[in-house]
Amino acid sequence: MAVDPLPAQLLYRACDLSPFEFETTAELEDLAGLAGQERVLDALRFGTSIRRHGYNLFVLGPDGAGKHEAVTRFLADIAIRERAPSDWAYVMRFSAPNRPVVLELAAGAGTALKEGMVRLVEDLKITIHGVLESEEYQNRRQTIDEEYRERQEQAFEGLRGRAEEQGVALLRTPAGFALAPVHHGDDRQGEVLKPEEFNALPEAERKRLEGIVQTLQKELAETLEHMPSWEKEHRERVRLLNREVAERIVERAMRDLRQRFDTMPVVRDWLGTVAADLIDNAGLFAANADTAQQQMVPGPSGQLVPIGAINPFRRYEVNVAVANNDAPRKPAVSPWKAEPAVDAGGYIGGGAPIVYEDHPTLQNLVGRVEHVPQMGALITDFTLIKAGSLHRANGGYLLVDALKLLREPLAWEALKRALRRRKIVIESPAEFMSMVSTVTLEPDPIPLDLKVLLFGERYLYYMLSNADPEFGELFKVAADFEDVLDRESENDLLYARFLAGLARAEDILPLDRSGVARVIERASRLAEDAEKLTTAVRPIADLLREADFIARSKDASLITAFHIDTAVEAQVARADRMRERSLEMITRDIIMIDTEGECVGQVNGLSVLSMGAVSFGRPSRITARVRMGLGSARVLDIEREVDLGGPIHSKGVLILSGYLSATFLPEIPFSMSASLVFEQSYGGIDGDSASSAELYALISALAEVPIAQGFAVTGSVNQLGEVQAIGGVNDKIEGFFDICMRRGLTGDQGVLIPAANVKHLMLRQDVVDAVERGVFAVYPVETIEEGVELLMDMPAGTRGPDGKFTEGSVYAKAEARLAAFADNQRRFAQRVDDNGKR
Amino acid sequence: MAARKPVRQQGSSAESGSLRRIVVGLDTNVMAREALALAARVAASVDAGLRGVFVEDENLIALSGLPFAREISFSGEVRGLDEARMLRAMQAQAETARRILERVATQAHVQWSFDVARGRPLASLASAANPEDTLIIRAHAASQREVGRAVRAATREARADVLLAARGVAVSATFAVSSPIARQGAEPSVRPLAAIDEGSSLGEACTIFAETLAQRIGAPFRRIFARGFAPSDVAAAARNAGAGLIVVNAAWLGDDDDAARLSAAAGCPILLLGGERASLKNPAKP
Repeated sequence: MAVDPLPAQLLYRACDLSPFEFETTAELEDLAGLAGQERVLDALRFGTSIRRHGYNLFVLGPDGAGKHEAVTRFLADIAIRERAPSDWAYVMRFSAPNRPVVLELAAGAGTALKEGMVRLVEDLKITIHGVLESEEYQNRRQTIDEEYRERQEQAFEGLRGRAEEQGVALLRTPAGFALAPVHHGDDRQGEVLKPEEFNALPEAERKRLEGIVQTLQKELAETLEHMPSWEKEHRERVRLLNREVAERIVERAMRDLRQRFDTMPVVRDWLGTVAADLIDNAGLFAANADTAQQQMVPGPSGQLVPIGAINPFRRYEVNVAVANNDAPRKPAVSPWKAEPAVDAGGYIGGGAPIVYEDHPTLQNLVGRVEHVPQMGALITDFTLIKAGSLHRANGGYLLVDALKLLREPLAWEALKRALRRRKIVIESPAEFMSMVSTVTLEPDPIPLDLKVLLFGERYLYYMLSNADPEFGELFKVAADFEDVLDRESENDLLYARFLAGLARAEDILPLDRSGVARVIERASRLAEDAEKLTTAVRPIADLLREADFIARSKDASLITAFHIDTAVEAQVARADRMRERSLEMITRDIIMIDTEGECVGQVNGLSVLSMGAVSFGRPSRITARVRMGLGSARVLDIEREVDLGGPIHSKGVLILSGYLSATFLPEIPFSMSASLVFEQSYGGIDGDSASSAELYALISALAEVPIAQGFAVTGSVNQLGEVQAIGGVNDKIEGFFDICMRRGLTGDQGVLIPAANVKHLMLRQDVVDAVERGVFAVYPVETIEEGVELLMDMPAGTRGPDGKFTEGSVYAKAEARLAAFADNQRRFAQRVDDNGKR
Repeated sequence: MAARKPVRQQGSSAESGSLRRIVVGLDTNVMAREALALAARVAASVDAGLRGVFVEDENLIALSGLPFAREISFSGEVRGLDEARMLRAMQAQAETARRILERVATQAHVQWSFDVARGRPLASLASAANPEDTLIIRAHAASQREVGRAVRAATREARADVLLAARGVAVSATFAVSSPIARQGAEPSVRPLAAIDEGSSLGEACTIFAETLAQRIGAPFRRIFARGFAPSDVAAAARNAGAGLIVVNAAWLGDDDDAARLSAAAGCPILLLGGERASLKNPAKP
């Protein structure tokens, strides 16, 4: 049953250089697809090809897996072959200014329409003004004005004449008219009688004049009642004249524009309404500096505002919300950089747009209607409609990080609503919450036809699947990134091509074969598996950038294994403060860890501390104490009792009871009480990787056989006593090695690991070297019994035909102790007290 | 109440073809605003100052003291009147008129001043005029007789110039050279300026002044010989020439009403040169 230490070559799987037929990565082609991600590729192909409702994609995988880059690269390849989608523009609906019209135009036509409308207005400013200032127009206008005035005059002249005949004048006052008796027939003719003059008149004359004035006042009031209808009639005549004049000019000025957009029915119809409005409002073009401030014109939202307060020609502007064009997509876009290929402001180019929304607020997604202050009020119009990323990505692909989306209030619901309705409706968060009640717009919704790709970690996908019934309806395709790929010669070569592409894209020095091999080995270590390579792009890209920096600082033209090693060491050193402090606490005996000698009921367990991106292994002293119990095998988990132990840890401890019950005294009731504790542990503990260590401590305490403290143990155990694989094996071994190293390697030190973890070993070179020199050892353990023998340097013992464990073995001692406990318990139970009761 | 004072120019106004100060009666109705707009254009065209005068009508003050005084609003509502209320209303109207003057003058880039007087509107303006003034009269509400009297008083007694637009005469094209839009147009919108030369030395001086003024404002110039012709014939000739402004010696016109009749018949405003210019002998051409 003796377990041999692992040979050095099993502690680190070096990359085999023999299949590499290149000298440097400069000779290698970029990797076309996604290495080891066939499942993702299939999902992406399926999800982007199927044009059915709800077939949006959720790209799930660990952070740093290069999801964005990989998906962007995939999309860039297919989007370029797709048709550039329509332009969308918001324009004035003249019949209902608060409901702007949306126009769908061919790609690139939005800007042309906008420019065309600007030219049209500028042309009309000159031509209409010129015509309205012409003699012909002025004469006709003057005729209309004069007729109106004459009509008024006649009405007043008649009245004035009758008044004058009776010695009364019709006067204009600041706010209307008045009638007053005047001098007549003398040199003061026309002058109003002063009060004293009037009072000096005979009473009969005064009454006569008063009577005349009152009669004429009635007539005057009746005359004035007709004025509004005459004014209205006059305005109508002027409008008709302007219309007649403007019709021809507008028709001529719009001819080219209408021809240009004749094939777009929506635009054609809108241009028809523009023509009608221009004709109706030809007066706008006649307004000059003298009268501008006095005239009221229809504002962009329909309300009457003074000319000059706003530009009255805004109503003819075109707000191009989405402008696409057919210009070819920029070549040589890096597949490894999301930013150049995906513009947060909207990717435009030949083919379908790919838009990455980095800040997915409600308004950034669905657009917004802005307001501007004017005369103390907030007003808006169609020119203040701003497109969102849904608008810009329409007809293409919208990429959003799920976590960012879920963090933004109302954004997730708005996105689902848009996808469900298949249209973009601009919604204001303030309106949702009834925070404002200002006049706003109801722009036409835009039909939505795009693929949304959400990015997130797996837990988000599963959480949304469980918590939101609509999620499954709207995101039917999951593209699940593999964390790792098999480490085979073929994949090593693919990985080398991946590195070649990355180096080219990032302008990093090429790697020689040793450099490639070392990166592959690092990728294996990051995968925590000697038979796998990580697919995470970010840490590898970071490593290459840092190695490149080191190589260039040493005037090297290639990145070699040395540069990679230096970069890794530097990475570790930069994040090493916590590990260093932890080691120091142990070496200064502040945290008590023995690495020599032996002790009963005490063993070195191994745990991994993770803080952000940094993780390292650290030994912990685990102790066990046993005593006679009350007719059961009760193992007290102190961590659990004080709520420092997690559920998995507690499960591991409970398994120990199962193992002990099944292994010892199967025929007799157990009478043992034991307690287990992680000494000097003040944080939470979870996981079952220390369960084998705890079992060793229990058995040692029970059998009263000491454990050699030069060992540390990791591995979980089942009820059958089989030692099972755990995570973080490399960090754990290195953590214990570092302590031993600092205290001086004795040659008797080592780590017991589950045999199933041997394939995960990618240990540091100094550990491998120590093992090779025979001053440190790693033991692969399959059963608890193997571990017991290693730790206690004594046979564990097997149950013989007589039902007893091997004489002198650890298990024999343990069982004898348990039997003694049971016997004592029986005798204790039979004791009679002073009252004769048992 | 006066704002910035108009620029005083030196030298003979006939030689420079200039009008020194444009004076206009202010009110808040549409016709008065038209007159103000015309005055501002004239001032801007010849670099003259602009003086606005609001006249508190004595007739209205007298009326408001009468026991049965009533005001009928534009909507037909009848209200009582008293003197204090009338004065307040006039002050408010004067302030509104001042603001309009300020805005119009600022937009036309001319210096301006504002005064308030009391009396009969046209008569007050005419009597307060001095020889360097050009009085703008947009005949509308006033009777022909009132206009005639005012023109006579201004040109012969105060020796000022008068620019008179009779009732029914469009003024928007007169002196309309400052509009940037018009400058962009293919066709010039400025109508010719016509001088009436009745064959006397005064007529010659008037012609020289008019020609110089036409050059200054960029308008075509026409000379109409009037010796032996009646004003109606001259008006027909001016209308045929498409004149936008007629320049004539005030002394040439006899009757008080002749000026208004000539303007109405010619269909354009008429600039009556007052006694000050008429007294200039043999002015030199610039």
